[in-house]
Amino acid sequence: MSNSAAIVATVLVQTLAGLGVLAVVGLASTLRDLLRNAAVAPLAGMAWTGIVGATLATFGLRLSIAGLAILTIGTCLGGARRMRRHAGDSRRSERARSTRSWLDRAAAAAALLALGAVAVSAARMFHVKPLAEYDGWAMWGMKSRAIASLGAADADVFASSAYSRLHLEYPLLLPSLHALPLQLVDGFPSNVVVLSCFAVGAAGLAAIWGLLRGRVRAGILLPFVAALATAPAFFGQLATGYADVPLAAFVAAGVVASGRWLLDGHRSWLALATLFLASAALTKNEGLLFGVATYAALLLAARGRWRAVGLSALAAGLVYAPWRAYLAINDLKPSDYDLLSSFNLPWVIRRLDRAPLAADGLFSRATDTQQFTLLVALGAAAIVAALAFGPRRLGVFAAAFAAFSFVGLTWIYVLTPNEVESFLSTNGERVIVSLVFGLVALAPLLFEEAARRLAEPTGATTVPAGSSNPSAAPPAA
Amino acid sequence: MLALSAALLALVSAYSGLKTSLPRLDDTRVFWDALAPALRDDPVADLYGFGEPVWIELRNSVGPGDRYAVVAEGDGQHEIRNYAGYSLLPAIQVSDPADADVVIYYGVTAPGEGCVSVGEDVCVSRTRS
Repeated sequence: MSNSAAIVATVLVQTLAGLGVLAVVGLASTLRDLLRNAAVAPLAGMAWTGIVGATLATFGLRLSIAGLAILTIGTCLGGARRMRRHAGDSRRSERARSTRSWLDRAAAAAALLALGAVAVSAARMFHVKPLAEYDGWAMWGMKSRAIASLGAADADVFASSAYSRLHLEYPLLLPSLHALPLQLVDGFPSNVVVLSCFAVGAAGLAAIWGLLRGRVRAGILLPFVAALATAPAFFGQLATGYADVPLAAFVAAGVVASGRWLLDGHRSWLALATLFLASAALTKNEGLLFGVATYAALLLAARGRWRAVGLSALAAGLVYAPWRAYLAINDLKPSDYDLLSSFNLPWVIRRLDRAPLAADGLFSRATDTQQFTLLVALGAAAIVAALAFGPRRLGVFAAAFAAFSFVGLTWIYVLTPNEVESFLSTNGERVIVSLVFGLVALAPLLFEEAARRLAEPTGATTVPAGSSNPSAAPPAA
Repeated sequence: MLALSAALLALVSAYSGLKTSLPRLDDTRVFWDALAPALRDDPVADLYGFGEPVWIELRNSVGPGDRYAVVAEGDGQHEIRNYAGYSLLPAIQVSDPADADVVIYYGVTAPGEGCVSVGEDVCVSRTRS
């Protein structure tokens, strides 16, 4: 099978699994609902099959293509059962907010043009690009190939001193995802891994659109999706085969689903956020940090709904637990930094002078227009708009996510035994991607809601437009 | 007005991104497109100067069930071991030559006789069959 055909076949099955996931979490009570949310399905399917694949690999078991098919059928059956059970619900289907003026339509059309241009150019490049950057082949390519050829996280590789230079402490979701199409091709064309990254990135963009299209008009939403896709860091970093942009896709989807839960109150959104944040934690060590930042921000913003946030965080923690157990059993220690060393206070205090340098280095990279264009400005403006005009709860969530993530990333450079500037130069522009993309993915929702409140006559009651369950949706503060 | 300003700012960002991204994407595509398809499958040995013919021989010499060790010295030894770890899968690398079925001497003179040369300064010694 050709590289592209292997990717398309895998993504199609994962999309089916994702549709099943959407039905299971209650985002669709009819087939029509399901199709309306279909843009979220590829990333949801990747998150779900990635979690299962990584967990099986941790236990020494393979997620084969037949296993993927069985998992997909099982998930779809579970979804169909839930849809049947809730078929009589009076839930009103969510409809995409239509464009309202010629300006909206023009903005949407311009954004589609930009998306089309970058998608065509990227697809042509990814079609021929192999793994060539160091960590791409040495780390992510090696692990993907090992899982595909050995069938699991064989301790002879994944816990062996012979491979200890290759960040064996990084979790296995992404290599497990890459291993699926690798099982369908002959040999090991490394282009499969690059194309698999492209699929995750594209699924991430589609998911942001799918998560927000019921609440944000296309004239705002599509320009933001285009801004993300055209940022040079997006496809540029994705093509290296590194895990940072795939991580950003899961983080952004988790943050946006959390934002929808804050506004609409429907627990399906929180369930989806749990799935995406758990998959982020299993993608890269920094994913755990962004997951913690998101939950901490939710705790700040979701007054009175702490129990739900706690249960979601607990579920994500349980998904992550087998990997922590694997690390402990095999005595695998992080080489670049260990968050547990934060508790060694005398040692940490002596290193606090590294924080300003690290924060400055991260901020200058996040605002580098050659990598991230105007994304940080867009995210900051969205926070200001939401805090000024409402919904403040969502503004607080976005600001707290950005602040906690930034502090967390800075903390890494405080803890690392490496020299700060040298460590920043190797990974600074990569680790910041999830923060920037998570914030900007949420920005269209912040702008749309702020604009709606500005347009409302004073004293009008807030009713979330297009809410999937108006009766369950508390007014956003 | 707020929504329109936000959309406009996002479009300016997208346009600015396109101006940088499109030439970069096209340059990258042209570079890789020019390589022979076989080399494009795994260009690492060629790009990093490890020598592609040697690694073809090594892949033929180290079988799927083998455990191998790489004996190398000097600046590039970690890169050589990392590339072996990637390229020779599903054979499994071990640290200690005493645990290996096959020992690869890379830029290092092999002790004793029986090491089969697979390239300049590279030979393979099978210690267990």
